[in-house]
Amino acid sequence: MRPTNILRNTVFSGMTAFAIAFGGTAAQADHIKTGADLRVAVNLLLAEHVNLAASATGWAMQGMNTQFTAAAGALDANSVSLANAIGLVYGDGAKDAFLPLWRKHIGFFVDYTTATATQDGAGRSAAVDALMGYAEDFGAFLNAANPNLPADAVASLVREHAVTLTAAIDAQANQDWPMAYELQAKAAAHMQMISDALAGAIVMQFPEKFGS
Amino acid sequence: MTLRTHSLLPGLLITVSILTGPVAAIADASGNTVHQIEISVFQFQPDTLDITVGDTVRWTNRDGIRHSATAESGGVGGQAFDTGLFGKGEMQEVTFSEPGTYSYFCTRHPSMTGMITVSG
Repeated sequence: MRPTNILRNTVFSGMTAFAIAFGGTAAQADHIKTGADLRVAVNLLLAEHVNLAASATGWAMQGMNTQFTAAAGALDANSVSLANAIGLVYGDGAKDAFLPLWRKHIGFFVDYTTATATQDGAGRSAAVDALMGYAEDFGAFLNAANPNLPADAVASLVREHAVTLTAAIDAQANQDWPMAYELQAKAAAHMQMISDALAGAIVMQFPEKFGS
Repeated sequence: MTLRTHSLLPGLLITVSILTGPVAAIADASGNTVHQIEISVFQFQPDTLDITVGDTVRWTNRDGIRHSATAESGGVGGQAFDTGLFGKGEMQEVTFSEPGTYSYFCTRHPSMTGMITVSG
């Protein structure tokens, strides 16, 4: 089996385990009642997304499979929580559409990590191209759900997410851990731009639901 | 099976939708039944549909990105169809001439799936 497939399979087996373990995440969404609640929740989830992703890729770079599997599972639990939040606002259909779309970009980061670890330049380029293309899809998804979110603006923010996180992954590959953590912090901080835009647009769309 | 492409134009269909809500099926000028599926927020709505031989299914893309309705190979139905990717405000139609169960998906977003059951 190719290294990419091994890593992918490890990620997704971990995802399954943690999706079961975190089956109660819908309850968390029940606490989101105001715009402020929503903004805090989305900020926490998206920052956590970056930190767990960087944790997973960091373990992967060191060949620490047990730790990687746990981090990948926690990352997927975070994805499920994000999907639950989307479902709270836009319904189960949107939740079900969001989750595979979101997981897809995580797969591209896995591809990037694997290619970087194996010094596969073409693989790295392909993963970056996939992430850039994904940004367009994600922008279209959020714009379809909420016209207050311009697709191009969202796509630009997602591309920046790809740039900041792949930079952290590169530092991990170079075993430059101070730089890796510095870039991880920057990548996590960047997510606030997405979180605030998303939460603000949802409040604008549903003032009666989150306006207080 | 026939495949047709349209641009979405405001007209009677839109007017009816506004007045009465989503219209599941209408009759075209020839009296044939046309079932409508909206593609919105990366979902086929409805995602399952029961029709009869000779009916037409019309997909309308409301998302700001191109989607397709593409039959999975190896299905029960005897016919394959692929609308190809089409953009926001565009419509694609397929007329089903063979009974069967047709599972389909979007080639760009394979997690988007739907099923059409065609009875004789």
